[in-house]
Amino acid sequence: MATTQNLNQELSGDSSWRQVVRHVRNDTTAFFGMIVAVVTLSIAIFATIDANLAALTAGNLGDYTLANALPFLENPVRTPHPTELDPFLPPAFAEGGTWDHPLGTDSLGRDYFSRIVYGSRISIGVGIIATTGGMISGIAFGAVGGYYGGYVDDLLMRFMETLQSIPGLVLIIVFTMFVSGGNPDIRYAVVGMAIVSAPTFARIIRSRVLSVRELDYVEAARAAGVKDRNIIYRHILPNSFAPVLVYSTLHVSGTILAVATLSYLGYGAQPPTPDWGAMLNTAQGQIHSHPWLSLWPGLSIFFTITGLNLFGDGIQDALNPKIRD
Amino acid sequence: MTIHTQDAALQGGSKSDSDEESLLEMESVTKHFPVKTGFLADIFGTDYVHAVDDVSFDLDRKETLAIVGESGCGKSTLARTIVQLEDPTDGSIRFKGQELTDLSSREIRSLRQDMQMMFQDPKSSLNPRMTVGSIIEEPMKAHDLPRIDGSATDAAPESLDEELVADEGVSKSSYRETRARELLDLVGLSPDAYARYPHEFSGGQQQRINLARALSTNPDLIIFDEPVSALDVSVQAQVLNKIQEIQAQMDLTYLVISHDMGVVRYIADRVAVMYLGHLVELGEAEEVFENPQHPYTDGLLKAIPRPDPRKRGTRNSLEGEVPSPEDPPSGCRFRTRCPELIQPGVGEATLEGLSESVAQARLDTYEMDDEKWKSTLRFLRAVERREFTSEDADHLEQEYFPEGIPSGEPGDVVSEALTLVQKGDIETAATLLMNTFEENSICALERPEYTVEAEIEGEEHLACCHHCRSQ
Amino acid sequence: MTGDTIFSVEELATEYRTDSGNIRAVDNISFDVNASEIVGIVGESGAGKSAVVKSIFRSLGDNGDIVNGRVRFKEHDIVDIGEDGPNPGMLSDRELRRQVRGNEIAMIMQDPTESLNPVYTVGSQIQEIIQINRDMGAHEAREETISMLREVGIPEPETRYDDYPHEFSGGMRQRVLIAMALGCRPDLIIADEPTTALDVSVEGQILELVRGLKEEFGTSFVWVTHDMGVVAEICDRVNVMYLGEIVEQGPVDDIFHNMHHPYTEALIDSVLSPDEKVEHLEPIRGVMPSPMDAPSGCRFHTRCPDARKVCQRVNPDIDATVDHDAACLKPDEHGYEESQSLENAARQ
Repeated sequence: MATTQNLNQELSGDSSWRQVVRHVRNDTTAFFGMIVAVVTLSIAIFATIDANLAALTAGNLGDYTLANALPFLENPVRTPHPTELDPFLPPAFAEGGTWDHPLGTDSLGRDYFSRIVYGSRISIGVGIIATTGGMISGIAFGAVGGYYGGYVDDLLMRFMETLQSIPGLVLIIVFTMFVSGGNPDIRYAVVGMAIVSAPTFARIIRSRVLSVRELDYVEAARAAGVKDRNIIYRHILPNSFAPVLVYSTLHVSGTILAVATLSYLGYGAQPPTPDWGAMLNTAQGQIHSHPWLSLWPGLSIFFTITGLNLFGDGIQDALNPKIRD
Repeated sequence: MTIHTQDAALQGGSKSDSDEESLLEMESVTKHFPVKTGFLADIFGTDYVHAVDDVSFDLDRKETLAIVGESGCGKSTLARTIVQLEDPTDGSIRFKGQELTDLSSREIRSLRQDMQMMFQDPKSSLNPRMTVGSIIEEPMKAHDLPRIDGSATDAAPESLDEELVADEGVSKSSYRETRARELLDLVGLSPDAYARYPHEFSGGQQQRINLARALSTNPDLIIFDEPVSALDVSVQAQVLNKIQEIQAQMDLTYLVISHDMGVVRYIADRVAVMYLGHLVELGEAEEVFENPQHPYTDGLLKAIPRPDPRKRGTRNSLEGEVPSPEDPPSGCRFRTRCPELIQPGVGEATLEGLSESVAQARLDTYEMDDEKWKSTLRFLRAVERREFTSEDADHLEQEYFPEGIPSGEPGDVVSEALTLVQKGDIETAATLLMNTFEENSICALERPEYTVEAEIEGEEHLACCHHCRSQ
Repeated sequence: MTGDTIFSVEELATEYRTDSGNIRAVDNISFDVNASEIVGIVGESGAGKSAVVKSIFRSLGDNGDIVNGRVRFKEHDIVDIGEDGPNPGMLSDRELRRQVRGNEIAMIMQDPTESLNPVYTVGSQIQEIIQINRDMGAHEAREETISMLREVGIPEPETRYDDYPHEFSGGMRQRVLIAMALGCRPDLIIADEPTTALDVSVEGQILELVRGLKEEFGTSFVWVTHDMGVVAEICDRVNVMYLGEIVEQGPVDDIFHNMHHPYTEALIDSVLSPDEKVEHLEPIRGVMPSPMDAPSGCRFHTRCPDARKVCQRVNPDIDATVDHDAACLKPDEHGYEESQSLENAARQ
């Protein structure tokens, strides 16, 4: 009974969240992952503050320099003359490059660095919003079904399973075309991804709910006369949430990839909106002549996904008590 | 502000004429669980687990009744059915005069203030993410206590609520907090525990938190499901002492479920023994412990290891295993293990008390003498359990019937069984012996239920054993 | 090791590493086991009994270390660790596995559900162990398995051989574990609370079985439990543990009637007896402290009704008294008599 884990807890009086943070700090890979995730996230957030995003996405060819991309730097306004535009510039460290465009320019002369930075907003934003949406709706279905069981559970879960039986991309594409009336846009992709991710979240939380539901403290609450919905909010959900959290970090990365595919197919981000996946796919054709066009978005996707995955693994380890007795 | 213990404000309403009325009346309560669930089972039918069958007893105010039995006897299911965590399959449960099976779920929910349950395992019965304070307050919140509109049941200290909340403007949440801290003090913990988490406390302290939670709505009845089983021995008495102390202070009624006879003897006024879903004995604690009438109770008492090496090996352990609750034995459910099984067709004089159908179904009396019957019974059990090492008929005969096999019909059956065993057909031998001897015994034909006069304490002693039928 | 002794533990100390420092779960304990003898280790949760068992089997896990001590089984040094780490005579992991574990020393754990693999039949699991350790062919091992199952009281062993663990009741599963442990005819079986989770009536059957097996096969047992009744029932000698130390040890007959350590006395007194009506029981105040907060001097002094000032300073060694050994200052050691009493009388 006096396991080392319990002894730890007894001594420090920590709630489990503080323990999670402590563990992640100690675990180097998870910590690295967390740093990467945080960095990418802040880039995404700060990049949106700049008003030039509108210009960027609307296809205005002016002001695509490093300074414009990072608003907290000195911001010399410099609008290049159309004749100054230099398509297919290599990155700064290669021959012919310039530090005005540190990562080079794309086929239309747009600064690649800015596009990468703004692209993070799209990818990560979509990842987080779609995941959150899927999580909330999945939890609603899974927790209610798991707690009540019986016909309610059957009904809800069959619905979730039906949804899951349709291949995700197909579902999103059909959904997009149907709802948008033929004008696909990133927003429909987000909603579509949320819908498609709900069933997995539902299943994850449902299985936890099934076991938490049998725990004594839930029974005690029922016996004490606590209403069902309060039981679900206060007892079931907080104690079932951990696996959902772990899965969601992994899911964000999956979403980023999925959005990339959709963009390639034309159903996600529409040009000129910079989306890493779209950029990657557009650059495919020029992989031999201008390899850096695919290098930068590829690396960005790689780092973001790896960082999030490592972080997710770290949380998962931290949340699994090692029972030694 | 002090905890409202016994006060004139609590006397009133149904309490004035409740001295005759028991707090809890259980009548023929039955709970069966379907083995298979779901929609196909509804169509094709399923077997049932007979967890609780036809249990009846009354619980008077301020008394402590213990229900004791081993795992699988149904005591926990019974407790959960009383608290309405399960719906009884049959029977009636009256709490404070109200029939619980008639009530809607909302009405039941409101009755829950008066009937609280305390669970066994402190680690899993306290939500690890909630502070101790919020755990204790939760039942109060669930029933919206304190209530100032007078709608609280007589269990809530109304006068106190109104004074403080309405007049002095004390907010409900601070009332609850104060009360939670007082309860912590009452159960022997520091009020500072309010802001801490359950895992910071030892097992015994966690059980006290559980107790404080059960007390928070000022209930009339508390049902304890194995209150100290998960605790160390040195801590058990501490927690039990506190439980008893509080009972006296707050005039509570207790129903204690336990498998531990020592615990039961320490705190119970009356004891009920359960076996495989049936109540087999019920009486005052001293009466049941000093004068057990049912062989199971007797066996159980003897089987407990005592911390005294001189008593080593003087007890017989109960033989055999508990049968499956899906298909419980007919008549007395303990008959498959009972060392006192009554031989079939015993004596003319004991025809009284048998139902007609049983009397008519009796075979010829065998009237074996006790020795021979005991030997036959031993042999029967050994065959049933395939417990012998050799299959040689002569060897077996010597081992089980040192005085020779019985004469007449029973002797023929025994011989045949011996032959079958020698041939290796144990299955048929077992069936033969069972059908002849056990299935025709009154213990298998009719369920016993007798009320005898108590010898040591109390007036009545319920003993469900046919050996009591002559009393 | 003297004549009859087949197993001995000397000055064993084990620590667990935690984020908040090292915890000494076992602090220099010594005891031994003779042939055909059942030796008990009794203590409450937190006393360190499990740590002792794990140390003996060297299965402490990542964060536990044996920091000192010697565990000898016959001529093998299972554990031999001094100040500078393991001594050369100590068995390597491989040797331990092949020569000792399962073969000459077997273990029975508390929860049979965890020790039995649910996807294999009970018979095959026992047979496998017998085949590996006793160098028998499949057929012979099967016969032996069936005979073992019968020996432990499982009815119809030939048929039950093919049953899966979940088809057995709790008590039956424990018998299966005993059969598995016995299968290799070990000389020593270490049983870690094997009857704690069982009903009293089943426990009685198992205890009777174990007594019989000891007589028949001459197997010795180390029986770990928290239940003094069980100790009285089957142990020949016993070691009482408190907070990582052995506070009293000796023959069971002696100890139960002639307790020298207040904790042993309190432990026996705490048992609620079904044999008599006790009005009020006040065994010991407080709870066993965590090993991180071990009291100074005698570890039990914070709860001992006979504690005196000197008990706060001096941690008594386990000494021979008239009939057995106890670690207490009461027999006038270190000036106990003159020392002032701490008002520790049991109260609550």
